[in-house]
This record gives sequence, structure tokens and C-alpha cells, in this order.
Amino acid sequence: MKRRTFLKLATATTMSTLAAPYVHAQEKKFAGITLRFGGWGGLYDETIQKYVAAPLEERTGLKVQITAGTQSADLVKLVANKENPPFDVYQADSAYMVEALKADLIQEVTEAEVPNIKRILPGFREYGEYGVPYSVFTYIPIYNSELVEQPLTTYTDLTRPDLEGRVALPAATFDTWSLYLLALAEENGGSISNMEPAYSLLEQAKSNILALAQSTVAMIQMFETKEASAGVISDARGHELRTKGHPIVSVYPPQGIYGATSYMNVVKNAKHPEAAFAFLDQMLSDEGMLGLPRALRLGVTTDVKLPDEIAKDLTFNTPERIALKKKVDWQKWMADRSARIERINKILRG
Amino acid sequence: MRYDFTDYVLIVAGAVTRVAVYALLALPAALVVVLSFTSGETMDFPPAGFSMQWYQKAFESEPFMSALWTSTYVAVIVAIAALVIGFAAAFAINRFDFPGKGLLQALAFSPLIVPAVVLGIGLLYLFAWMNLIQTMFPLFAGHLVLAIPYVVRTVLASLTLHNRVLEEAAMNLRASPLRVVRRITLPLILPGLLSAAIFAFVTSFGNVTVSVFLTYGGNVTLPVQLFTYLDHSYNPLVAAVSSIMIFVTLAVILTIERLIGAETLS
Repeated sequence: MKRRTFLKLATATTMSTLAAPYVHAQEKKFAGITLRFGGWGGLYDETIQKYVAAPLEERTGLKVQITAGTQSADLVKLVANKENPPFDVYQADSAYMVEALKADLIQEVTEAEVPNIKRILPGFREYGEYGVPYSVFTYIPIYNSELVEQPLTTYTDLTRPDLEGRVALPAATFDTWSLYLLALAEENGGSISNMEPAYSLLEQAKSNILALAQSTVAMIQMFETKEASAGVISDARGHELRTKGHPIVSVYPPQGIYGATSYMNVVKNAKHPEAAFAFLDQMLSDEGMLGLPRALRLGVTTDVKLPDEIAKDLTFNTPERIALKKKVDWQKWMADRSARIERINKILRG
Repeated sequence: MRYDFTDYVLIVAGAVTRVAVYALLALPAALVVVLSFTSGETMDFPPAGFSMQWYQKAFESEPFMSALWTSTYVAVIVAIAALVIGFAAAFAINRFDFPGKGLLQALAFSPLIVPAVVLGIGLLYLFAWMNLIQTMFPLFAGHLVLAIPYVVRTVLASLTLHNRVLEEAAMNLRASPLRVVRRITLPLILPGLLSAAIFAFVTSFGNVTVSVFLTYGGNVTLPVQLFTYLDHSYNPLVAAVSSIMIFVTLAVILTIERLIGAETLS
């Protein structure tokens, strides 16, 4: 071996040996750390575990502890423990984001901390630097094609006289699910500040309402037993009904589609903010983003390329469909919550 | 004995009412158990066929199984603790007159009149103030608060109904008060104590409303796990897990029945 070759090899070997522990440490930079994540239970948590937590653990050594709960209970837990929060990452939908911000529970997250934020589609980040949107769900009209002769095309069609006693709607206490009211208002010349068109339509079509569902399970059962012929449900649940063999048609009204977004947030005073940023970044990666559409047919918020067999089942699967996504003033929607519930109850009791 | 028409009507009405009430009590649970054995993918009735696949999935599900373990050991510890505290409170209320007795009685029953959600939030804030929220203690304490009224009420009824002559005889024979309680009172009210323990176990084992605020660090109880699962999925796995809950509760009741006998318990 030539002297020069020998020196080159020796230098490379020495450098590699010296650098190996450093590289390894970088790879497993969260080893020994446990990130506390407020989960939503069931298949949702399993999916996040599989597509976000597990790959991240393999790469960085970060362990993720998922505690199943509801966003309302998690919010109360955070408010009660501001100095020592029980979670590092809190999930909230668009409506609960208003409450989380009002209670000053979450911190800003920028592209510098979570590089994949740059991949979020325009208009999907409703709260500026707060919250990382990772999933979108819509509440659209659906109908049973065997029971409804004339197809529905808008939210307003739910008030058609031929649907008397056959429409299932959610209880007004559901903040995102009751967006159909805003749709009724806006399709009929109203707005979030003028909900009267929705209320008067509902008043006229009161006899159409079969029941106000108090849970998604109750709503699904009404469609499974064919008690309900039409109603409003999330796009994912509409798909679930179809996979169970029910002839359910989802309606995408040309005037606009209403829905909400799910956000992940790094909690203020979180124990491991760096790990939380890494978790959010993995969620927004292609691998993380495709988990929920695969498992639950929930919509994506980034420019990830969707496989065709998934894309066909999602509401926002083309630029044209995305253009139909209606912007909601959540602050106003939540501020009017009590008055809205009271008004609906009054209409239905009257 | 002669029966007239009114008697026959009352007998038939009584029988019909009894059947209706028993059916109403048992049918929902029976329906869930039947649906849990379906071979189909949906909770349709009648089931598509017989299969144990959903039980297999339930037992393979780490979140459900760890939640079952959490619920079981929390409920067992709560039942034991509630029995000790509840017996002491009921004994004091039944045997002694002391200042504040009315207040103690009211306090013992107060969790029954406060809505569970409010109780859950109240306990959350209390333990947050005590800096104890990130432990298992709030879950135990929350369930204990819920269970104690049932234990006090049941034990108090047993203490009131049982004949004290044997206790007085023992005391006449110079048995110490502690010995009288241990050798006379407790064995005589044992059925009441075990009924109270069952109440406490079931109250803790099936609670959602308080647990959802007090769980921490992955220690989720089975009802909370089930409740959150329903938010995103609705399949026979729910029926299988619910049936497992029913079987565990039944196992506890039957074990106690085997230990002391159904007649004694009734």
C-alpha cells in the first residue's frame, strides 16, 4: 500500500470512529424522552401511533405516550394545570382552538421549528402561527339513494317537503357539526352575522326533522336502520356507511362545503417542546399525513400526493373541490354559540 | 282463598310489569353480548353469524387491555377503601350521637346530588391545586368519592336492621368494643358489607364522567377508552369490549356469591 493511500484510509477510519457516537446521538436525539400526547382514542390514536409515533421513535428514540380523552376534558385539564400541563401536545378542532387561544394554553409554531409547515395548503391554517392543521373533515348533506328519489344538491335541499320526517340533524350543541346552519344561512342570502334565513328555513321545515342526534353513533344508527333518509354527517362517516353496504350518497354543494380542521398544538410550559416540534413535523410528513386518510378517510392539509384509491373517497381531492371549502369565522361562530343553541331549541320546541 | 276478577287483573298486571321491568333491565346487556359474537363487520341484529373474531381483536388490542387492567385494579382498590371508610362512617352515624352528625351524614351522601361532570371538574381543580394531578391518586380519590355514598347507605341499612342483642351479650361478657365489632358486628352484617363492596366496584368500574377528567399518563380506564373509541369507530369491537366489562362485573358478583352464598347476600 502506498503511503498516501494508507494515510487517507487511516484518516477516514479515525474520523468515522470519532464521528460515529455524535451521528448516533443526533439520530437518537430524543432517547429517554417521553412526549405526552392528548389522544382522541380508538382507531384515531392507533393510526397516529403507527404513522407518527412509531417511525419517530425508530428514528429519534422519542417515546410517545398517548392518553385517550376528549378535547373538552383535555382543555379543562390544561386550564387547571397551566404551570404544569399534563400534555406536551394538545389536539383541538377549529372550534376548540378558539377556546385554547382564549385560555392562552398554546404556543406559536413556525416553519423554523416545524419545517413541514411550508407544505400546508393555503387557507388551511386558520389561526396564523398558532396550531398545526393536520386533518380536515367536512359536514356535508348525505342521503340514501334507495329512499330519496330526487337527489339532493345543496344543504337547503334538506328542507324540501318530500323529506318530511326523514331528516336527521345533529344537536345544536355540536359546534362544528352544526355548521349546516351556517350553510343554510349563506345559501339563502344570510351570513354568520345574519343567521335569520337559516332559522326561518328550519322553522318552516321543522316537520322534516326526524331527530337531533346527540352522538355520531346515534346518527349512524338512524341511517343503518333506514329511519333517516337524509341528513348531515361528516364525510368520513358517510364513507363508513357506504363501506357497510348502505347506499349513501355524499353531496358536495356547489355554493360551498362547510367543515373544520383538526390541529396539533404545542402546549405552553410543555416539558419537551423540541420533541413536540419533531412530532408535529412527522405528522406533516408524507408518512404521517397519509395515516388518517388511510384509516378513517379524513382529509389532508398538505400537498401530499394521495393514492387514487384514497383520493376518490375524500371530499377535498381536487383543486376545484378545495376551492369550495368555506372559510368560517370561528371566533364569531363560538361567540354566538349560546344564542344559537337557545334559538334552535326555541324553534324545535315551538 | 277466593280470588275475584280484580285480584286476577292485579296478578296478571303484576306479572306483566315484572316481566317488562326484568326485560328492560336485562335486554340491553343481552343484546350487546349477542352482537359481540357476530361474524359480520357491523352491529346489525340479528348477527350475520357466529364468530369470536371481535373478542380476539379486543384481547389483542393493547389500549383496551391496558385500560381493562387499569379499571380493574382501580375498582378493586376503591371497593376496599370505600368499604373501610364507609363502614367507619356508617358505624359512627348509627351508634353515636355527636356534634356534626347531621353534617357528616349530609357530606357522605353529597356526591350523589352533585352532577358527576361538576364533581369531576371540581376534583380536577382540587388536585391541581394540591399539585397531585399527574399521579393516579386523583382517579382513586374521584372514584372513592363516588363510591362512598353507596357504601355508607348500604352498611347503614345493615347496621340499623341487625339485632344488637348479641353485641350487648358479648359486651356483658367483657369483650372489648373492638373485639365485639370484629367478632360479632362484622360477621353479622357481612352480606351488607359485600353488597356495598359490589356497589363500590361497579360504580368505579363503569364510570366515565369523572374518570375522563382525572386520568393521566396513559392510565385510561376502560369506559373512557370505549367512549373515545366510539367517537371515531362503530363496529362490533365495541360490543365485545362491553361484553368483557359485563363478564368482569358478573365474575366479581359471582365470586362473592360463591364465597358467602346467594341467600346470605340477598
